Amino acid sequence: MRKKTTLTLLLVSVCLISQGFQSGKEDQRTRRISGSDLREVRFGTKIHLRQSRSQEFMPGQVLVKFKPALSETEIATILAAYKTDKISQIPELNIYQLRVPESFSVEDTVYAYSMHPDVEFAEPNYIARIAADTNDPLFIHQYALHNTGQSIGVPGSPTGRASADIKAPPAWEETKGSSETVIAILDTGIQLLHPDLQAQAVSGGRDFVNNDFDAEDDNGHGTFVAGIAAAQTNNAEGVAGVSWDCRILPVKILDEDGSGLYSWIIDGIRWAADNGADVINLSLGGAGDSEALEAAIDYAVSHDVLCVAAAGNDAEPVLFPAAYDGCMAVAATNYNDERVTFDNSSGGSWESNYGPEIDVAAPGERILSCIPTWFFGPEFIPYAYGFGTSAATPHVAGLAALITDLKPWLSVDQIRKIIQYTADDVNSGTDPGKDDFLGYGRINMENALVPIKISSASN
Amino acid sequence: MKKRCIAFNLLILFLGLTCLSYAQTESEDLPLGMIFGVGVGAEYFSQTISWDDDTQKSSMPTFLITLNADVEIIDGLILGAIVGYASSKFNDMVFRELPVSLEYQAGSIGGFAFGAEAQYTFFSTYDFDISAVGQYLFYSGATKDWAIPGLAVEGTAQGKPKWTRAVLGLCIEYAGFDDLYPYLTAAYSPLSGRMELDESIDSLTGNEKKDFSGRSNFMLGLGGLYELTDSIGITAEIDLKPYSGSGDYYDGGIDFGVVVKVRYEF
Repeated sequence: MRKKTTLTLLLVSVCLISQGFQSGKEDQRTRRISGSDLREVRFGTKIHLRQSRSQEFMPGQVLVKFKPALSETEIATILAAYKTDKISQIPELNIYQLRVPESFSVEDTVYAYSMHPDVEFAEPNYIARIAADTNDPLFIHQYALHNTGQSIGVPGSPTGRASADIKAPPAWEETKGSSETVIAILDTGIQLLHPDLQAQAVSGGRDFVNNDFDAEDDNGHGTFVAGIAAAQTNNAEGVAGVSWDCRILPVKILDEDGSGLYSWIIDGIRWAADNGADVINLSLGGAGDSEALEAAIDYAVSHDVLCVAAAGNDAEPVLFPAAYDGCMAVAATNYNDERVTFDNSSGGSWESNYGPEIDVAAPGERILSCIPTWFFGPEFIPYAYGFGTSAATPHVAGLAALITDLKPWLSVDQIRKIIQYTADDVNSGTDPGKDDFLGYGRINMENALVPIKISSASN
Repeated sequence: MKKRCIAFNLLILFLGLTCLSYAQTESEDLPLGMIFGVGVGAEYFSQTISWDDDTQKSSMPTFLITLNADVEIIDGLILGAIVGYASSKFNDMVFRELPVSLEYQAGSIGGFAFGAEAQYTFFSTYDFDISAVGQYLFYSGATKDWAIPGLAVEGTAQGKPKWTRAVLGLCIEYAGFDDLYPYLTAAYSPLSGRMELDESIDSLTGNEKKDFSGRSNFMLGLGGLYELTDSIGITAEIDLKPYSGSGDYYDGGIDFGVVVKVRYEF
C-alpha cells in the first residue's frame, strides 16, 4: 500500500475547511455582542485545585435517607444517638439534611450511618458547580466541546443530541494545559494577530512555502484549525480552545490555495519537532504514499512528538500521512455522535474516510472556530463554522496536548493509547469495538484526564 | 526498607513466641511473679491520611480483630505479640501518575495484621502507676482486582495496600478502685503506608505507589481495665488524634478510635 513516490510532483489534496465555511454572514451579524452584554454573562473564574470527580462536599453536613417504616420519634432517637442535628428534611423523599458535630468527620458520620440497619443510604452533601469556567461568548455554540442539545450552526440548523461531545468542561477542571506545551499547526499558517490567537502563538513560526519566518495565514484554514486546538480561552472573546493555555507553533506548509508539496510538509514536521513542538496537527492529507513523508513522521515520534492527522473527507481510504503507523488518524463525527456525511455546498456529499488506520473520531461537522479577520471583512466577527476531518483533528491534538502537559513523563505511544482507549464507542450498535469508521470511538476528554472511579461494583 | 520491616516483625514475633514457649515448658518452675496472658481484641479507628506532599487527604477507617498473647518477664515489664485480621478503607485516594488516572472508591480491603507491644511500669506512687507503653502493628492487605469502567477496551486495576503503626508513650493508671483501673495514655503514634495500584488497559500498563502517612502523630487515649474475675479483665479505650490542616488544601480535625480487649491471665 505504501508505494515509493516522487516527492516533488505530489501535491497535497487538502481537506479544505474554507470550502466548508458557511456563508452565514447573517449569523455573524446575529452573533455580534456588545462588551457590556459579555460582562453580564461572565461566569466567575475560580482557582481550583485539581479535583477528582467527587471530593467536594459541604463540611459538617450529611444527607441521610431512613427506611420509610420509621416514625419521626424513631428517627429523632437515631439522630440523637449519632449526635447529629436536623437542618432540613425533604418529606417526599424521606431524606434528612443533618449537621455533623465538629468532633466527627463527614466521612466517619456517613460510614456510621451507613452501618445502621434503618438507613437506606447516607452520603456527604456534595457541592456542584458550573463546570465550564469559560466566558468566551461563542462557547455556547461549540457543541463539540459541550453539547447541551443546542441549535447547531446558523438559524434554522438542526439541534444536537445532548452529551454528543468530547466532554471538555469536566476535563478542564483537571487541567487547562500550560504554556510549556506546544501544538504545532502545520497548515496554511495562522493569522498571528487574530484576537483569539495572538496570545497563543509561540513565535511568528516558519513558512516553508515562501521560505521565511512569518507563518501568516493567506487562506484561513490554518487559523480555523488553530482556534479549535488552542484558541485563547476565558478571555471574553470568541471561542474556547480544547487546550486553554497551551501554545501554538505556526508552520506554513500549504499555500494560499490550500495545497502544498510533500517536501514542505516533511520540512515542516522536522522543523516543528526540532523547535519545541509536543504535538503536531496535520489537518491535511494526500493520496500519495511516500516513504519520505513516513520517515518525517517517524522522526517526530522519535523526538517524542505525537502527530495527529486528518483521515480525509472523500469516503475513501485514509489519506497520508494519517495512514502511517506513527500518526494518529482522525475521523469525524457530528452533533449526534454519528459518522459524518458532509453536506457539500456544491451539491455533493462527503464522508469521513475509513480504514483500519483510523484511531479515533472527533466532532467535524459544523464546528465553530476562528477565521482571519479579513476573511469575511471587517464588518463581521472573525468566527465561522467549518466542516471536515480537518476540524476533527485539532480536537484530538488539543487533547493530546493536555495529556502531555498533565503527564509529561508519558511516551508518545502511551498518550496515543490513552486517547484511543478512553474514547466512547459511539457506533457500538453497528460496529462494536475498534472499527474502520470511527476507530475506537469519539474521544472523551473526561475519561482521558479526570480520574476514573473504580468501585466495588466493578469487581 | 521492606526487608527491615519484615525482619523487625519476625523478631518481635519470635520474642513473643519464645516467651510463650518458655511459659509452657517451664510452667512448673515459673519465676516468682511471672504472669502470662492471652486475649482477643477489637479495634476501630478512623485515621486521616495524607499523600502527594500533604496536598491531598482522605480518611482511612479500619477494623481490627486481634489475638493477643503476653508475658510479664520481669516485674513490671510486659511483652506481647499480636496477630489478627484488619480491614482498611482507602476511598478517595487518587492515582494521577497512572496513564489513565484512577480514583479509588472500592471500599475496604482485608488483610493480615501482626505486631508486638510492650509495657513497662517504672514508677508507682500512692494509687498511681506510670508506665511506658509501646506498640508496633503491621497490616498487609490482600491483592484485589477491579474493572475500570467506561473505556473502549477492557481495563483492570489491581491494588495492594499496607501500613504500619507505632505507638510510643506514657500511661498513667489509677489503682485506687477495687476492680476498675482507669488510665490515660499520651503517645507519639505515627502511621505510614503505601497503596500500590497496577493498571492494565489492553496494551497500556502503569503502576503507581502511593505513599501516605497519618496526619496526626499524637494520640490521647482514655480507657479502663475492669477485672471481671481474678484472671479475666476487660479493657475499653477511646483514642483521640487531633491533626492540623495543610495550607489552603484542607482544615484540621480530630480522628478517633475505640479499642476493646478481653484478657485471660494465668
